[in-house]
Amino acid sequence: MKIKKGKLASFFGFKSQNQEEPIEKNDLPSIDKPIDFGEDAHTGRPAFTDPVIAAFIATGHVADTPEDLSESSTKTEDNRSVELEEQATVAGSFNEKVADIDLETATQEPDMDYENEEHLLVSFSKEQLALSENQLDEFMRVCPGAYGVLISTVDGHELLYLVKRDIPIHKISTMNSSLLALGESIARESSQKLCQFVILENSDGRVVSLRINDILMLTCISSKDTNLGMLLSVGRNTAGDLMKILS
Amino acid sequence: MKQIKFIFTGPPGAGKTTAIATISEFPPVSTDVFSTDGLSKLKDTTTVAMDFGQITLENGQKIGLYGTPGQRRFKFMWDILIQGGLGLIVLIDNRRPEPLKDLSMYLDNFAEFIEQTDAVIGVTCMDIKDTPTLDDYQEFLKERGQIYPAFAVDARSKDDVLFLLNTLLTCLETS
Amino acid sequence: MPQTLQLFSSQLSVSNLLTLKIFLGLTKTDRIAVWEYTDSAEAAAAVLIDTDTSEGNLQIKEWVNRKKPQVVIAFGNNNLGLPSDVLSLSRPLRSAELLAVLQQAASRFTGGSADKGRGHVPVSTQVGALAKEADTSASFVQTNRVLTVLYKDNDKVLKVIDRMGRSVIFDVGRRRYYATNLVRTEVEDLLASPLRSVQIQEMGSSELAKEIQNIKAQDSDPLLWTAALAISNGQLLPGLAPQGFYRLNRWPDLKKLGADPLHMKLAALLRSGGSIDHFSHFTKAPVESIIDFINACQVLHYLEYQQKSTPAAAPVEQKKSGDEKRGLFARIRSRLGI
Repeated sequence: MKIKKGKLASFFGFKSQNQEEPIEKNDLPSIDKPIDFGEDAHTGRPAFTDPVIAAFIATGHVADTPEDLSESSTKTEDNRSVELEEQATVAGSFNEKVADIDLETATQEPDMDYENEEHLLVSFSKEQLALSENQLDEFMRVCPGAYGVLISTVDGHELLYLVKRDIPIHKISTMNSSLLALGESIARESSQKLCQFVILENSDGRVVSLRINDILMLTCISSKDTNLGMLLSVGRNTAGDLMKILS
Repeated sequence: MKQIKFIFTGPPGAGKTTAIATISEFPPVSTDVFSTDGLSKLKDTTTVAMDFGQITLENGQKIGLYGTPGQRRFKFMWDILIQGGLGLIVLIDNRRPEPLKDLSMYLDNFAEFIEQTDAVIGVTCMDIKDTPTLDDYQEFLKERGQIYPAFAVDARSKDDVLFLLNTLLTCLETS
Repeated sequence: MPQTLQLFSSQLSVSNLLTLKIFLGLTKTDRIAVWEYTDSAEAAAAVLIDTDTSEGNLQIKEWVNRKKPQVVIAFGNNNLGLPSDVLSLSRPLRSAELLAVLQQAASRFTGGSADKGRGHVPVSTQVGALAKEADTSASFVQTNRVLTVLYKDNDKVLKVIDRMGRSVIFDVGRRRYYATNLVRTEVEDLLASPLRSVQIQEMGSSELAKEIQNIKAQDSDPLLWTAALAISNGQLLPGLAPQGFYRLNRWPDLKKLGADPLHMKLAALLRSGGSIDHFSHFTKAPVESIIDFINACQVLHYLEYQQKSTPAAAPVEQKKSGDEKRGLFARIRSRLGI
């Protein structure tokens, strides 16, 4: 798996090491074998993760244009899991390239979406992220059938995730933001309050989305090995804990 | 039966939600959430699914007015929303750095839909920034081998929105 | 010292009569003749008769037969076949054309010495090559107009000066005009004026820069469009043929130019292209209205034209789904009030 150093690394004093290279379509985050999460947990090594460091404080560090940030972009091609202290990765940057590649249009399109993760206006400390990662670890441990858990912004940018399968995190975070927003709108129109979960019940699994706070949401993906009740309960507890950590 | 609808698209902040609100018989249902990326410098919120408005005809038939998310990463929603669409209204914010490129992006991404139906272009905020001019837009379309109606509009003005729809309907009627 | 002459009119509508009296006021600054209105035909130097009425037609013939000293002016759109000593003034009543005709009437009434007494070079020589170019081509309407010159010379800067010395500068290539003492309707009138009633001078860039220093540039497209529609009278511009194939090369900004429903329809049809007959058949509009629109588009260079004979337009096949859609569109229009 390629972990790309975010362009915002420089803003946090993390040195960028390599120049950014476009990521090939086939270079999706892939793992050779499913992670034996339990082993990782017992050894204390950080679980496979693509952690995200908080981007920056908005004032004073925001680049005016995406181009201003391009010079400091980096990536590493290290496949090992990376200590948080060494990381300045913004997961969105990696997956932004994936999203770009997924699009069929060949025209050079303007920076329409302000998609660059470097612009993410969320600010978390290393401690917060470490604690959040622990929460995600715990979730995966408690729900045996879970193979993906994702913290993303309500407008579709992924921040932190743990996955055991090759799934397109960027797409899922984007689409689930739409789904959650639609769910909340439908609840309002139905004269009901506070959409709590949006549940996709599929033949061989479930995807559950719920809010963490005003700008963050949690998505839990599992097979049928975890029953729905447990998934909802653990998901809600995890979201509640994350809300305290990431407030 | 597929719902019949008009689709409003364009970059964030161009005025899609506003335009729908001027003619919808109820305030549009929106799916706006906080922006957490660079867009927040322009707008606090962004549409992540759709805006939904409606008009009801005399015979009870409902016509949907759908606004798409402006950001390209929500293209999957564009593909869903255009199902059953009568035509496309593209609103371009002339204040943006490269409005012609914006227009190009939407025309390319909705090309198949426009081919089957039609499109009209409304350029907003020309009173704030008057270049590119409408002549520039027309020249740009001409270079692409396309001819679409393009007008300066105020998305808050019901008359302007109706003018766009009127023009679109005329194009559809004569196609 | 200008002489004062009287004008009598017959068969004019109330609105045209009012307009005529207002326009006569413009002659107050004329150096040769000041015209006033009179209710007495016998006291008049000239009589203006609306020949588009049957009574007016009879009166014209009577006046000609009487061989009276009054100069006879025929006002209407069907002034063919009248004796050469009858002056012609076509509809609609416009100040520039009226003043030009009154100038001729004054000349005739006072024995043809008016022009020599002016003390300036006649208009035609000042127009020069520009007017000649317009004159040699097939006439746009029966009279060559200022608009024709602007349409032909679309890369020049032209200064147009009316009989009262008021001027407008047209930067045709940039689609702008500069006017200091003329309001928009007067500039429209000027565009519709016969060439003989104005002076046209070509300007260089430095000359232009000097003249427009404190004058705001204005968009000339609406003016040219309105003037073209007004004077088109169902006759194609020079170089265009009824059997030709017409196609838009850009959409006219009808929000700016005028949101006529027929024009919108024609713009949509012209986007695909076709013949005048085809457009007329589809829209059920008279051919003259189609031609007026085509002329207006041509003046603004929105048209591609191919001079080829096209087969007669096949009637548009109305598929059932097309009918249903048209019904739907009609209901949507009704609902939105458009």
